[in-house]
This record gives sequence, C-alpha cells and structure tokens, in this order.
Amino acid sequence: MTEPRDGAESTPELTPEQERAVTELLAGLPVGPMPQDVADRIDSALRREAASRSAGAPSPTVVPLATVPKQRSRRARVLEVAAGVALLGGAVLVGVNVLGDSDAELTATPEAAADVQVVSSGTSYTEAEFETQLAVLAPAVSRTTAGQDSTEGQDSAGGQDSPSAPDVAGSTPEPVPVVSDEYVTSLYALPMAALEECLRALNPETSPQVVDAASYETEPALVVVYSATAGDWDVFAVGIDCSAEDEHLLRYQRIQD
Amino acid sequence: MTDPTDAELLAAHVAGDAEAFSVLVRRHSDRLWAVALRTLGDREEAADALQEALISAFRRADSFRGDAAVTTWLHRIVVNACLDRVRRRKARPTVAMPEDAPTWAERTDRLGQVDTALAVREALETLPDEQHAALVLVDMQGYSVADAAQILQIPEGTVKSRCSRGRARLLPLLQAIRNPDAGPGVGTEADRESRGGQS
Repeated sequence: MTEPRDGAESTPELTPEQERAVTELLAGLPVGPMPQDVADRIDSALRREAASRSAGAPSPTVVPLATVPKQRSRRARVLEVAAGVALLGGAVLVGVNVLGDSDAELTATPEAAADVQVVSSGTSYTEAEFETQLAVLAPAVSRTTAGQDSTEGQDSAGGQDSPSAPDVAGSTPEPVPVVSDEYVTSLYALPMAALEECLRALNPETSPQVVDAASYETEPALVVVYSATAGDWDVFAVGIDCSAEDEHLLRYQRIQD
Repeated sequence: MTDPTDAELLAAHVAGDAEAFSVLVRRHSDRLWAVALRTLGDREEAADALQEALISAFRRADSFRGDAAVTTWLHRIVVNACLDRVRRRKARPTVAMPEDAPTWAERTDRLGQVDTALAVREALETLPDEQHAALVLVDMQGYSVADAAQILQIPEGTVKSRCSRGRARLLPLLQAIRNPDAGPGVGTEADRESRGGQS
C-alpha cells in the first residue's frame, strides 16, 4: 500500500537564469570546516576500531544494519557477473537456470506493440538476489536488441561490441510475457502517461529496453532496463508511484557487459 | 617524499596500518562534514551520521574495488548514511506544530529579515530525499554531475533530472526568501504561469 507522494504535481520548467539563481543561492550558503569536537570524536572512534582490530577482537559496537549503506557480498558480486553475462550476452555462455527462483510462468504473449516493451515476469525481486534475478529479463532485452540489430547483420555468437541480444544458448530462459497498457493500468492503477513520466525522470535521454511490472522486496514495483554506454546496462527498480517529481527509487544497478 | 595517495592510504589500512585510515579521513574531513551537515541540516545528527559512516568504511575497506576514486567511495558511504537517517526521520511520527508557532511571514516580520541559511535548509527539507542529495552534491558542494552520479550510483541523466526538478521546487521558496515582502503568494501556480508566459 502506498500513499500519494508529496509533490506529485508537475514541476514547471525553469529558465536557465532561474536555474542559475537557485544554484547560486545554494552554493552561497556557508558551511565551515569540521568542528574540532566532531573531529576529535571521530578520531577517537576510529582509534577504538583500530585497537580492536589489532587485538583481533570483534568490534564491541555494531552499526545497525539499517544505517549501513547497502553492501554487496562477494558472492553476490560473483552472481552479478554471472547474471550480467546471462542478461547481456558475451562470448562466455552462462546458464540462467541456476538463477531460477522466479516462479513465473513465462509464456510469450506478444500482444502489445508499444514503444516501450512492458512485460510481466512475475518475479519477486529481492535486494539480495536482484542481480541474478535480472536474468529473467534476458529474452525481453533480446527481443528489443534483436529488433534494433536486425538490419545490422549481427552475428549472435560473436557480437560483443554492442549491447546486443543476450546469448544464453544451452539454457535459454523462457520468454517473459509482454503485457498491454491496460494490464499495467489495472494491475497497478498506473496510467501509461504516469509511466512515461517516470521513465523520462529516470533517463530523459533514451527509452528503456524493457519494463517489468513486478515486485521488489514485496512492494509492487517496476524494473526498468536501459542500455547505457559501452555496452553497459542501467537497471532501476522503482515503486509504482514513480513520477516525474519523485522516482521512488528502490534500487539502481549498473550491469557491466 | 610525497604524501601517499588516497588509494595508498586505503591499501595500507587494509594491510593493517593503524594510522592510515585516520590520515585519509582527516584529509577529506571538511568536505565529508559539509555533505553530512548539508544533507541532514542538524549538527549533532550530521556528526552521528559521519561517525557511523566512517566506522562502516573502516570495517569494509577491503570491499573497495578501485572502480571509483577513494574519495568518491567515502562520499558514497556518507551520503547513504545520511539518507538513511533522513528516511528514518521522515518515517517517525511527526509532532504537530503548536498553533502559536510563528508562520514564515510572522517570523520575517519579527526579525526584519529571514535567516537565509535556516530558510534554505527548511526549503531543502521539503524536497524528496533524492533531489535533496543531488542538489547538495552538485549545487552546494560543487561536484560535477559525473562525480555526483558516481557518488549516488545513478546515471548522469538522472542526476541532472533530479537537480532540475529540485531547483524548480525550490524556486518559489527561495524567491520568498529573497523577497519576503511578496508574502506567501510568491511561487503560486498562477504566479509561475504568469512568469512562464513572460519568459
């Protein structure tokens, strides 16, 4: 359940002069150096950390998990690489079956032919498995890139110079169903105009390869995949109240080719 | 003999040097403090967030992959710690303002001038967290959009978009600061439309 977000109204465009005026006002606010008492306090805390580390003892204080920026484990990073390869293609073919905690029934139902490909994989994306779960979108990205590359004579086995179709031979994931505008609207009460605004807010310069109407950490969410530079991919998970004013960003992940 | 680089200090810390991390922190302390203070707007909370973030960085220094500058990595940890606090603060039940609390206009009348820094801070706090953080880095701290994108781990286009939308939301509030005589009507939709028609 989400509530309307503050400031969901459209924001007026500023002239360059107005933008500059706001910037100048913000930049002109003074902030002094770190106060000595704060510096001393931090120095003491770090010395305690260093002492407990050198003593080989576990640190007596534990920073609450909620206060620690999201950190990926080594395992997650390894899986990220696997997922990245599976999602984005490459010379090394990595299966996506190992990633398959999606219980989605993945059947191609290409009934929408919108500029933005919206699919419904049924995936319950989680923070811990997000990178690996993205592999479920490989076929959808493949559809888009195949369409883009269709006139270029792309060699599917060797085309690693472009953000091209995923090559997951031997373990090709099932295609995810493409859904209609009406489906998204009914599922999330999300008008397509709002979706388009959201997508422009995430990346005003290009359209996404695919939008997956799914969930993230049990919250209804859209997972949006953009082609980035140098064959990389930008993947966003946003809440369904994503708007031009506030994307309600739940997760951002750069996947490197 | 030249000073060690940030990366060398971090490597020394990971290797067991007991002083290296403190040297690294002192080198960047003022900028990290400014980011924390400008994001949180409260001295004590900024100090807590910074300490928390730096201890976290101390413990997980071996996770630094070298795909960004050390200072970018440190800023990222500090910004995330601050945003976590902002979100927790917003999630807490708010205390209703007493009915006799001065309004903006009343405060302006009493003081004759608005405390600009305080007013801007209050205006910033009305923004969505992500826009606030982007403006702190780009407009207040002077980072390039590219650097801010690395710190926030979002694409440059998203940083630009957040900054633009944040500035647009701030404009009417900041106009009221610069021109308090105009009263609370400054920045209304009608006013904006009127200005837009002239530009």
